[in-house]
Amino acid sequence: MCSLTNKKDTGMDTNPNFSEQEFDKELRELLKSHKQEKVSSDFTEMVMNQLESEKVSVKYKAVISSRVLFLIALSIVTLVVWVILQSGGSSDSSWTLPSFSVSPFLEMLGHWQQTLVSFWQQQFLSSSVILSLLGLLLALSIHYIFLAVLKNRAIKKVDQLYCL
Amino acid sequence: MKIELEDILWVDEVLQGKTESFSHIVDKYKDKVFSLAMGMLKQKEDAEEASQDVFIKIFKALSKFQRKAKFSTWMYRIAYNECISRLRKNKVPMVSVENTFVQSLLSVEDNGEDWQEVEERSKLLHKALNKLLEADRALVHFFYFESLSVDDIARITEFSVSNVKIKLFRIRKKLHKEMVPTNNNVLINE
Repeated sequence: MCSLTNKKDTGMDTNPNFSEQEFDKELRELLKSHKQEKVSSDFTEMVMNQLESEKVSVKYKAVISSRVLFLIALSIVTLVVWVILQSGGSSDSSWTLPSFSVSPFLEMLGHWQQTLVSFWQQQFLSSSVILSLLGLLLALSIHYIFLAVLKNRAIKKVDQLYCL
Repeated sequence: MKIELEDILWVDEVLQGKTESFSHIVDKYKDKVFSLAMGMLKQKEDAEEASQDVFIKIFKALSKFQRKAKFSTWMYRIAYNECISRLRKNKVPMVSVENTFVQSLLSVEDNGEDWQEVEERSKLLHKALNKLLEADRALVHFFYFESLSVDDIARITEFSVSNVKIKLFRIRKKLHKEMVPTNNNVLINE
């Protein structure tokens, strides 16, 4: 029985009596040395016309997924609504960030943490929390927008490189 | 590497809405797809029609291209399946030697002293290839003409790697039997 063992995974037999490698080489040469029949010259045009006439639609892949966009939008809207609601009752004409009570959280912290926090003003701390959240959201948005821009630029550059 | 990158770029462009980039893909692979279709379907008209359908299917399925395999492997798989499905649907009969892809493939160009010898070997190969099943001729095309690896052929045909090896061994044995004089056939051991 001929063995099918093949170290290079080419499917060739290793039986020493039967020079399959030479036979394969000959077959390759014979097949490749002959002129192949080719498609008609307007084949590409025909395919593109067919695509046009059938109006074949391809499912385009968005750079920012709709789920991420929805999450970013929802977070921003939630924050804005919350900020408006919090500052809505204020009679002061100048807009300030709403106060954010951190006492329940502080109660949960240990004694050393309370000591540390006591150096800070309550107002400053609450503003920091809100600003941090807004900053995080802004950073996320910028990150995704930059990714999209960079991807498009990279595609254009490679496009030019290969003269596509 | 550049070739694969080029394919991926074109695929991305089409997916981003630049439909005209698909013409680069068609230009690059039309002869390969057509050659495979000719090998399996035998008639030029059928092969050309099948090739067109293959590219339409590739376009429609482009968003499903996983990029785990090479684009060419994925494309060959669609082409192979299309030809198999056409053969099953139409039950394409075996056609005479005169009209086959094999003959077009073996239409030797007169370009040297070895012409007669090459022609003789070509005729033998021609006869041998015509005795193979269409699906087996596809394997010959992939392995000998496109020089694809057994792994790639397995991915395209959805056979296991060992099955592809066995099939190639049997095909080789058949071709060898046809092309090598009978007294030399003892070299192929069973």
